[in-house]
Amino acid sequence: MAFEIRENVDGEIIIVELYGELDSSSVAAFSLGFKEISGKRGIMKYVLDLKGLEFISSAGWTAFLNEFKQLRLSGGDLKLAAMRPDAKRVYALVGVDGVIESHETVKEAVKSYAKKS
Amino acid sequence: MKEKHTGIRQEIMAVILSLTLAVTAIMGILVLNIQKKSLTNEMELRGLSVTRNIANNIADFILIKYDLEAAKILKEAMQNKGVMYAMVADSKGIILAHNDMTRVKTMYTPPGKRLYSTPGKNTVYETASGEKVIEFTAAVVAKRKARIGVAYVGISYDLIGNALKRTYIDIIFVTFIAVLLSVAGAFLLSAAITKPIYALAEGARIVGMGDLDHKIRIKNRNELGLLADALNSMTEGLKKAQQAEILRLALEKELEIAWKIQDSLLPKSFPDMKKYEVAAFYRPAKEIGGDYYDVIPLSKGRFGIVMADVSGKGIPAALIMTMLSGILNMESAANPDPVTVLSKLNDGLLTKVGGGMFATVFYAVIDTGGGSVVMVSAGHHEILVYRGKTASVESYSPKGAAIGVLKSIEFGARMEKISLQVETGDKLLLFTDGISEAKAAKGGRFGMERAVQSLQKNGGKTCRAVVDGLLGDVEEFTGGQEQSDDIAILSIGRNA
Repeated sequence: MAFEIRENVDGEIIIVELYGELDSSSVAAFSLGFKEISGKRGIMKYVLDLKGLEFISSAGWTAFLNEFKQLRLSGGDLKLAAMRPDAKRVYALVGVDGVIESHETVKEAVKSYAKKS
Repeated sequence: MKEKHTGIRQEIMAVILSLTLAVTAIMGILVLNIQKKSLTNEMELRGLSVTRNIANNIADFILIKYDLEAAKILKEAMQNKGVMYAMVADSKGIILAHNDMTRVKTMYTPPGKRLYSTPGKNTVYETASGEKVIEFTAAVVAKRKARIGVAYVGISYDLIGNALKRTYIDIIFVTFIAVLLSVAGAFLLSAAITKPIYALAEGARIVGMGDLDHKIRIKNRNELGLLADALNSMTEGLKKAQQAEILRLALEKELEIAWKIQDSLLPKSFPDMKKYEVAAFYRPAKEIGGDYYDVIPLSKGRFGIVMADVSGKGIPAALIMTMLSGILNMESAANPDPVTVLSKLNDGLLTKVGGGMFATVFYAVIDTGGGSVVMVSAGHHEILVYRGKTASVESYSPKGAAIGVLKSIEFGARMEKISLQVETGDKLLLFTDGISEAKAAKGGRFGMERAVQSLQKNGGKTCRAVVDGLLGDVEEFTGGQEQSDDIAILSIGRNA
């Protein structure tokens, strides 16, 4: 399945849904797509919905770390949600779990934003 | 270069002028014909009326021989325009009355050479002096129907010619005015056409000289405006293509530099490990990534074994790889504990990379004396070990976060160290995700399971055979699909 990026809004939180495979050939599509969404929505709280993402390569994790870093620097935030088991394994292996928060479902991720603020 | 071109202006003027001339000529001929017909018609009616008038009034005077009265009627008839002669002759042709009284009693003769008959059955003659005369006749009948003779009246036919001459002059005048107007119109029209064409030609010339920012501006909203729009969008397209080409060349140059950096860092030969053999393979992807491997000689028969993968591409990845290689070589020599080596590497790179890029590193220290191996991993996937004695494959994946993601304390806390013993016939197989994530044309990825099977198959052979076997299996699996990530394979085996 080709990579795809879609957006959804839940109150003040932007949910970005990813589908397909995120590897070195599609990472540019993610970066451009995310930049377009964040350019339109502004610095906000984001949730990346990874339910439809079948594969994430190291290039994909780098892209997540980059977007997270950018948003944090300008006062926004990014959380991951609904990761598949394979992705979860790499998420912990590489150490991204020590940087970006992850939740089982998008709902939980959205709720976790509400708790903090 | 410059060719002689005929002007569109001259061409337009020639066409319009010939059209005008043709139209006025046709109109002129038509008008002349109509004019000629109507004039002839009018003359015939008039001539007939004059002749009949004579015939009606003169009979009695001739009968009673009132010659003077008869002559008077003829003289009156002569007052009519163009009348050249008027006479009455009897049936034998002897002239009974004539406007020229000397001709009385002489024989009637036609006024000249007979030319043709008019539609009104009157005859046209040409006189000796070259003049054309149209002759009208009418029977002269007295009361009680006594026929006396025939009245002849000759009217100058050249009257029509003179009247037509005036029409000619009118037509020439109208033609002249029409030509003047058409020349003026053609001039304005051709100017309206040629001006934007000159602007287009000039614009195309400027663009041709290399100024791709030039815009052709003409006011016309017609086809020429369309052409200008097309030329402008062509220029824009050329500019985009040029920029894309510049970008492509820059990218190509960058990849070339990245490849040179990477190539300079990868070992060309391995240190002598006595009872151990080493084989490696490396092939960069089109957009070069940052794979790196090395065998670093340490003290007392120990060697540091490295397999690393910098996420990212091109020069940035190559530069991080350079730093990574430098720090690793320095720290591995200074620190016997592999955990310390990777912790120092993380500390060193974290500030440089700043969270925007990371590297997975597998690092092991092998003691060729006793065959012990101590391995750590910074987010790198598992390595495989072939056991010669049992012909089986084991997989090891020490825990640890990737380099450049976590801060020192957290990074150190996660690091796990695994030790194992390597016996004769055992082999280590290390590679990057260019192998495990190699994509097949029909979908799916190579994965770790296939790598295990490959090692299982070739583990009993040489390290070179293990490396080539894995590569062959990957290529068979991908089926010619373009390699999207760098591929690095390193195998170390104990032979004795």
